[in-house]
Amino acid sequence: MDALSSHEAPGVTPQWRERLERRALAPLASTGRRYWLWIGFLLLTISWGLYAWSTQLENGLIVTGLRDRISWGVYIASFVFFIGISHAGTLLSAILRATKARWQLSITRMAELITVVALCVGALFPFIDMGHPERFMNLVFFGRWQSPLIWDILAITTYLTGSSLYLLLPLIPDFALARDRLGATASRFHRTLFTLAAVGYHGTPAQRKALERAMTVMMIIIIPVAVSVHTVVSWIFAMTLRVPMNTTVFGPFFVAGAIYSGIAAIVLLMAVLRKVLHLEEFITITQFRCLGYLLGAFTLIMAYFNLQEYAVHGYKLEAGMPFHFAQLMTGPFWPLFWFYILGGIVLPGLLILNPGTRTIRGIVAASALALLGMWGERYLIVVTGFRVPLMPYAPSDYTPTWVEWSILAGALGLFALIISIFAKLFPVISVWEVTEHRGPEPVAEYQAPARRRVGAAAGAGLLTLLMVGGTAAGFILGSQASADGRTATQITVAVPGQVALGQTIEAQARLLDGTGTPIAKAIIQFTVPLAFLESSSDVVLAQATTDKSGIADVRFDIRTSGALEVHAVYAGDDRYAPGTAVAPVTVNGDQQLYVQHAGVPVPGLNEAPSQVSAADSLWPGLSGWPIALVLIVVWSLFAFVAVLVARIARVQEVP
Amino acid sequence: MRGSISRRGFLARLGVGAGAAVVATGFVPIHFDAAASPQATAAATNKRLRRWSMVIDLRRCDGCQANGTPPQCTEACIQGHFVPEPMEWIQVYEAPLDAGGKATQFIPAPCQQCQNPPCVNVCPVAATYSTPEGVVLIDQQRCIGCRLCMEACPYDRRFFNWGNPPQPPEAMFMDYSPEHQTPAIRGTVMKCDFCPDMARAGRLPYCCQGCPNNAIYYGDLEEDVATNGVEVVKLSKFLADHTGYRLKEELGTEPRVHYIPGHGELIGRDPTKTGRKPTTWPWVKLIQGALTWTR
Repeated sequence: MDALSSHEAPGVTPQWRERLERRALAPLASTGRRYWLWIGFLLLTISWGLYAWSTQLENGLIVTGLRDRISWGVYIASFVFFIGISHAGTLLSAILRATKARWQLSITRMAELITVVALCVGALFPFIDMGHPERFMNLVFFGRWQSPLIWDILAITTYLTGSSLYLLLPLIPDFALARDRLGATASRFHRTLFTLAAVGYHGTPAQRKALERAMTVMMIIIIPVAVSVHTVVSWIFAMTLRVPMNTTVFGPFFVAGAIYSGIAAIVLLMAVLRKVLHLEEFITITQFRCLGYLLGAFTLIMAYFNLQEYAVHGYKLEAGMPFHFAQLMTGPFWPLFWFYILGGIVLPGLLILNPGTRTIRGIVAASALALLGMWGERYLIVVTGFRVPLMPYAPSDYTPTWVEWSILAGALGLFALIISIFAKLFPVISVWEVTEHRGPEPVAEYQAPARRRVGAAAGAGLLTLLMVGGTAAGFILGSQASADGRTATQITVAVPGQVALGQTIEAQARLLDGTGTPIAKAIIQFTVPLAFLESSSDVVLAQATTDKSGIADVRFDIRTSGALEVHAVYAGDDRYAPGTAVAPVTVNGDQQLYVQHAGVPVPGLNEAPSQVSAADSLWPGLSGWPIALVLIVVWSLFAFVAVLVARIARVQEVP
Repeated sequence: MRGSISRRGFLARLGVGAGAAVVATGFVPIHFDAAASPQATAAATNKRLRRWSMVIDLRRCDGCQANGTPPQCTEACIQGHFVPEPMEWIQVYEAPLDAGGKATQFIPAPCQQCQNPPCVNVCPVAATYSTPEGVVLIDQQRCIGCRLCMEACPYDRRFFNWGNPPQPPEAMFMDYSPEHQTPAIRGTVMKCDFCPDMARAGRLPYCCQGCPNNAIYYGDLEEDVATNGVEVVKLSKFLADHTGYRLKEELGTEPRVHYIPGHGELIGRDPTKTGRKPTTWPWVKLIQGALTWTR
């Protein structure tokens, strides 16, 4: 039974271990009335959200505040927000575990849990936002490697699989612990769950080695996967030509914002669970303060990215940007924008910076502010980005309806519900890791000094709205006067009889008066009668002015094949009568002449879509292979981890 | 536009590249139509594809101020396609010509039919696609309604069926095709389809037919001709002669819709006279309890 305790951190006493195990396993053993009340409340919230969604399914997206010009809103903002807070797990578990930090071990489980649950809930939003959710299988049948939405789906599926594995791997020894400690008294359901989930783990050296290998692989692979996920999420905006979104900073900006809100989310969750599950001994001010430092560091990174974003755009003020700055800073979005900047970034930073507020309460408050501010930021990016007019029209407005707020509330309820259920099914503290690598938390050595007030001054800068004027050029058509009794003219034209389609033709016309004297400075038009759709008329191919010898030389091409007639037309003036000469020309050929422009041919970005068949579109063409190769590498590592888990299950003998 | 149904029905029966065929079997190469071409002898062996295009001569557009109606290009399009309110597949914008906004020009804007279309790039299910003739179409029967294309379009030329779009009874008898998008389907994106089915049958699109000043030329980049229903012009020469331009050229979308700069001067408009009649949806008014929304 004590095979699980072969390694112990310094300072671990049997009493301490017993307390840790009891605290960690207590929620699994018994369930109080308050828990069921809480679950009932969450179910009510979710039902309300489901009711709102059913209204939307019945009537269409018209029940939302979304319209053509601001066609994404609360749903997509919440999607970005939830995917953002899923970065908590990566940072806390993977990056800190890889750098062998130890203070976070008692909260890694919660962080990994947030990751998995936030991904599950966040991924619902694009689905809710779709006009035809029942056609989601089209994404499989006709999915295109070029589409940012497909990148999102691939990245999120990969990240969800990876982070689920990463959540479950360190759980194996704890499930074994629960099986050994609670096996006798637990319900049948729990017993079966623990036994199955522990996959026969008894802490033998072979099992331990396999587990450690699997965790090492996962902790390394999950970091680039997480970074890629939020980069790809930012690309659904950055891959467009809209003015505020058309920027290269969005990838890292979104990743930074994701980690920032992820830290805030884990602080809130650990504060709640610490209180509810009485984990004060194992989650102390140390964890809060370390996370607070991280949060503080990320307020600086966020400030840096905002500087980058607004200084670079604001300096140049390209068309559309003055409008964007005005709507954010002084226009309809100023309360949210300044709350995000001052309340969501500056104030949390000051709360962390100030030793007087660097308490559990202060850090929790900073985190709550940061979370709210980051949701506001996602909302601003989506809504204000769409609001900048693309054409000369008055900007639209967007007010979310009760349906959108209800669905968001339902999603938050679902988020809390899944976490609450998981907290009943497995220990929220990684017991074995804390025992082996961390040990008892140091006694809080830190006394908060007397509180000082932190004031933050806000100043709003005014920007001049520049009007973007179009340019126009005026054209005046000259009128021609005609008179009777004009001198007769004779005009001749020379054109090659046989030409190839699109070939440059040199033609010549000669204009003489009745006595054979050349007429100079006369305009000769070369026309060809053509019919197109409903109309036919003389199409002007070229025109030229005659020289001293009465000759007008022109070059033109004809892109209509067949037997045609080229006319050389002199319109006449005050002195000379008009005249026309006709020459037959046969245009031969049926090759395609017009070269279609296709921008910069970036494989995977602007290649023509596959229109042939489902199988053809599934098979990655040249453009899809880079993505496919990355996916193959990542998923084979996942498969390798699964093999290691199978190895743990196979080696079952108790030493 | 009373005759639009029978014409549509006729076109549907013609079945030239009907949408179903496009989607199910890939592109049907559409060759020069012998009946529509005056060079019947050459057309028999002609393998060239049309590359549909448009030129809008702003010198002849006054936003229908002179005839005191809503813009007739938009109205014709709405009546011909049963465009649900509030969509204006071709929309007449009024843009200021000077900093004070006292002088304006009218810019009728259909889908720009980009050769490097941002909307096609981002569509996750290839519901929007470029045809070999260069027209960007939407297959509403495949569209999942994610609206990524609406985000990507830099010209605000895409519209979403937020609710159940009202459709007249006759629309229900029409065979659906991405080339005329009728009947409209809730939860899908719609836009100007450039009427290639009409052009193939030798007719001008509704907007060109509707324009009282013949300001809209429909053309073929391949044959390098365009017509407004009155005259035929050599497209490249017409653009070069009159300083043709395209909207937001700097974005690299390579639109197929060209503009001749102007503010209605050829038809005697005073550029400081601003405003136009608001667009109406006459057929929608005939349907009781029709569901509409605002943009």
